[in-house]
Amino acid sequence: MTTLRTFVFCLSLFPQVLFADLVPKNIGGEGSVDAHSETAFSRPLKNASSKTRTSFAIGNSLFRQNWVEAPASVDVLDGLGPLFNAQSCSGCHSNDGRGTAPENNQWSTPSLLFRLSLPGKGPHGEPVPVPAYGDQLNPLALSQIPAEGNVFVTYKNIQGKYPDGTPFELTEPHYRFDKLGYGPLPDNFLFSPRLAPQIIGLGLLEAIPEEDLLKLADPGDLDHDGISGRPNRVWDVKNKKVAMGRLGWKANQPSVEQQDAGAFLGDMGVTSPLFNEQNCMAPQTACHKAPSGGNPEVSPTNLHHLTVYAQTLAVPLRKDIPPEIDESGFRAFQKVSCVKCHAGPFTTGSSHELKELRGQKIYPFTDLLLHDLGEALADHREDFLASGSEWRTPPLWGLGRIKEINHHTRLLHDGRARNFEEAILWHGGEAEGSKKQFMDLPKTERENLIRFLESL
Amino acid sequence: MLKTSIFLSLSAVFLSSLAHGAFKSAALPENIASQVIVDYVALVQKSYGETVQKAKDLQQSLQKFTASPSEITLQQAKVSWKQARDAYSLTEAFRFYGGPIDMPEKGVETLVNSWPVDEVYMDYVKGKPDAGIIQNPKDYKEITKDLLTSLNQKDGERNVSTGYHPIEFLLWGQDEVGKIGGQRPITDYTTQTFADRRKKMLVLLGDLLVEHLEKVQKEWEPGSGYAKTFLALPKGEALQKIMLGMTTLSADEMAGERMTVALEMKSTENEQDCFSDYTLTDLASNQVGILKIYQTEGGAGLERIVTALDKRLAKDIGIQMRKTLDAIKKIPEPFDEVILGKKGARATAAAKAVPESLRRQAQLLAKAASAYGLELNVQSEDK
Repeated sequence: MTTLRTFVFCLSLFPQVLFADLVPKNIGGEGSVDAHSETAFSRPLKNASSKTRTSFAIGNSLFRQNWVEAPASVDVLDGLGPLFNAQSCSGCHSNDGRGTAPENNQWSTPSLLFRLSLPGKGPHGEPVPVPAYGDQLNPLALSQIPAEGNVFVTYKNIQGKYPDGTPFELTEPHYRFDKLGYGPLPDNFLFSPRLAPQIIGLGLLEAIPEEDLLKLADPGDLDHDGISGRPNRVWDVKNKKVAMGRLGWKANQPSVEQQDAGAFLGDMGVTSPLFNEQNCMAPQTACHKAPSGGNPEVSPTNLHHLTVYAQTLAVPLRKDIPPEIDESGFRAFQKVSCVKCHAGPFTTGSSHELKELRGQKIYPFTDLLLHDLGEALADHREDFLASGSEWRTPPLWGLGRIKEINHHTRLLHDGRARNFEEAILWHGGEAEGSKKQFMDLPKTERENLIRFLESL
Repeated sequence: MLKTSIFLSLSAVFLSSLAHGAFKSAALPENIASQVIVDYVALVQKSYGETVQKAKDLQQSLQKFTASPSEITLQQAKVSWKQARDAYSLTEAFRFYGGPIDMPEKGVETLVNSWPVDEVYMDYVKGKPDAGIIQNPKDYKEITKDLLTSLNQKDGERNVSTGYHPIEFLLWGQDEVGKIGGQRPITDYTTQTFADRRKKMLVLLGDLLVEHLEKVQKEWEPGSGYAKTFLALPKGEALQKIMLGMTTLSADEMAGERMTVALEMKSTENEQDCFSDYTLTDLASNQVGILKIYQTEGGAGLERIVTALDKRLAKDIGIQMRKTLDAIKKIPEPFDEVILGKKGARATAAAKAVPESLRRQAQLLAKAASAYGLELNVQSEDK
């Protein structure tokens, strides 16, 4: 009875949060797929047309292909580097899934990258690059060119207890920048570790009408629930204007295309129609002199195919769990107000260039807004409007599949959480109240909530 | 003629209304479904049995070749590889539903069949004479099964170090357009600096292939493991899995990754068996594998379940599947010259007809499935 009352109360306060019914199996709309094992994230939308499937197939191949140093016999694929983090997209987003976080006392993995900057803002509000290093540390380079460096990772264990006495342990990451190829980093440099996320459902997120997201924003916390939420405003390179940021850990990318082109350049050193300048900083002389794989190195057609690919990777159908656990877990998820940020459902708009993405009822469990998650998770690095302690609510769909796809269960922006429970316990700031309520739940309800998350 | 087309359009309307839930799904005829499922399991058992046997033959040929490398033993190994590949290609429609071949955590598909491969990961290629795991004793002191397994798909999905395709590369060598197959010299296994490591790798890859495929075969053994689970599934669920395998292989793998990419990008690197130039035979075997499920020899193939629903549709699916097979056979060899457009417009058109026909067969199967209330990963029409 209590559960039901709380639930009704929530609904009346937040009419925009429309979780009246239980969550269906096809959380990714008509395009949801029945996919299994390591390839559960690798299928095109079920409703993809033949034309889209053709682009998807080509994009898929480009995503998996190793890029090589120019000049090479395979012209389509030359242009790697000079500086880079990985040789292929799939090198970090393995099986279109989530990157591997480093273990204790190890060098960082390729899929955990480090954004760099100095305090302040650039001409479009973006972070200010670090002289000699740029805005991202590239641990790899072509032969004859110095790499930028690497990061050594250690974790400190933190012990805690639930009110019911159940103990838990969290691991807090610590980073040491080392092997620096272009001199010491300035004393005031800022950094942000970012783990490669799974890339399903991105086109659907792109197609949510902006006004529906803005309805969920409450920057001044006028309803006094402790939760604000605001959109990031970022630079749209193609349209040369400010746009709402939707993608990335800090919502610093406005579109899938720009996200892809940005990753081509930042992660692999491959230029594209959107970013056609190589990412060499002024003192990186060997970098400037390296041969180019063409201008741009990825053609407009191939960038298009890759974009369609990333837009149309389908969300898998939810896994089956016993109905009583599904209901109990979902009610608990609502009761402790996870839904205030991990929101939905949404119906996508009618204007996306791919018709498969239009008019879809989806359950991504995100509002795509920025929220202050507290000091423990803060990176102290601004990214457009996102402050040093704000993060974009990440979508939860597909998270239960990471284990079978990537053989680990590491969560959060830097992969510090070793499972769902730890990810919840790291929440602070605006989510502090929800976390406390979660901790106050009876053990079975906590477990059911996690089983609900694992079924998504 | 007129009568046929009216009938066709009526049945199309009827079926599409079914898909939209305007009508209730047709009830599955339980008896026929049971027979279809039992026969499917028997087909899977037989097919993996043959696959393991051919892999063992290959393993022996690799041992013989490396024990005394000569043009003759090399040829024998190549023949064994092709036969092993023929058997495996017939089983690929048993993928994609989380069965033994690609079961979460326990599946071996990526260890057996990863493709395309970046050759430079394993051995030298043109312009990179010192490359590869084989020629790098500094980082990889001893080549072992564990090493090869742990390096498979490390830091990138093209970094392949186990399965059919690395064996293919080690036998044939890098693809050369205009020639049938790669031209790896026998000296790679006799006088070349790293000949011994290359031999070791080849032998271990043969052993691993057998081990991995035996795991799959075991799961499907009558009365045990997955075979038991599969036979106990609700009939609709088992049928859905059978069709999910067939349609995903058709629409995603064959039509997409194996045909479209190579043709649209004019990229011979994306030809599936580029080292041996065996791609077209592989594709034909994949399609025969699909047909075998649909019209199982002397048994109740999947066709019977569709016939119980709609005779016309059942027939159309069979016709479409044969059309696909014919279309594959019409592509002239060598496929890499077709990919590059060197065989003329007619050859290119013949090749492009294949993915179209594959998608169509997947759509027709989806139509039958959705009439029974079963959902696959393709829709019955382009919308």
